[in-house]
Amino acid sequence: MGRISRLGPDQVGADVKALFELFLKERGNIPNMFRSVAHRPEILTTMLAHFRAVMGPGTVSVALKEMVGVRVSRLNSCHY
Amino acid sequence: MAKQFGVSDQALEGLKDPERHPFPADQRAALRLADAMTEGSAAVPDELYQELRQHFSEPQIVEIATVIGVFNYFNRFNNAFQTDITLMDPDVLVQRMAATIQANPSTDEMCARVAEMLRQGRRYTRVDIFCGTADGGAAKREGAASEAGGTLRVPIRAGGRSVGVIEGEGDRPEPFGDEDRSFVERLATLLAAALGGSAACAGAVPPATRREKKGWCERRDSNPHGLPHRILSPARLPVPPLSQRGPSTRWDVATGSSTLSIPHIIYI
Repeated sequence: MGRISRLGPDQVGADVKALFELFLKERGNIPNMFRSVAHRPEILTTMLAHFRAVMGPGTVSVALKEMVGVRVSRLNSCHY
Repeated sequence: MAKQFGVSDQALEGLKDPERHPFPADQRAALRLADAMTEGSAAVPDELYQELRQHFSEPQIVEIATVIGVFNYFNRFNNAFQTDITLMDPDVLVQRMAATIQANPSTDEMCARVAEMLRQGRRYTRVDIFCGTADGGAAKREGAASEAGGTLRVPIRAGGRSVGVIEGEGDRPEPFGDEDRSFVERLATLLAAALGGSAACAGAVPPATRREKKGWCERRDSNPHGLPHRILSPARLPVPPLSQRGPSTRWDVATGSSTLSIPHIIYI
């Protein structure tokens, strides 16, 4: 069990709840990291916006960015 | 998920040690930056920056560097607080599997898709569904369950006999628990109804000697080449093109509007 508690859709405000419900609809789950970060709603919403800006279509291929992400996660021994 | 964006299995394997893999020069430079920024950002050498500039513009380097930064941010957060891997909600996954089973008349395709859903949804490293008989390979594989560490093996039973086995392997540090077993048993019940109610294993069986030798059944109606009915190595699955996987539109968090499928399941 992670050290920081995870909030569910019924424990967050309307804005975050809408984001959570979208995750459930699209993926069938809510990433645990985001459920923990939801303790600070402003940080969660801007984190997601930034993540999408960084990882979405841009000036280099998404495939290259995915590879870079996998490499960094390996170096950090992050299995999450 | 990286594979969805065109990253090959070989490239993913190569990411374990990029210097030993024949990545194109531009990719190699980006991966060197990932290593340098992650392991010693105050000492990124000039030579590496010059190498990057041979392949990328400044906006592109900024974009690559922000990817490296974001992943370091997320990785460190999750490592520090021991964030659990996110698994798909069992109820949602069972609903989707049931729909898949109903929608695919071919046993091969049905099992392949369900196994891939299980592998991705519950983060197993491998899922196999063996369609066999009680006195054949399925039972033998089932009997071997206690010997295999890190493997979850659940029989598919229909009409009082085994018609197959679901096998899952994971590399999570914790062993499979009751939740995993309970969930896979629900899946086995779904598959039993589909397999046991058809000619899949109970009817169109091959000669006994061959059945026992192979350990799984062979369906002549869907398998004209007489190959063993072993399904599901994820790498060989027919993955539908993105256009058939539903909408993937952008999600504007600032406005809270529209929808977006989130592909980066590995990391978040």
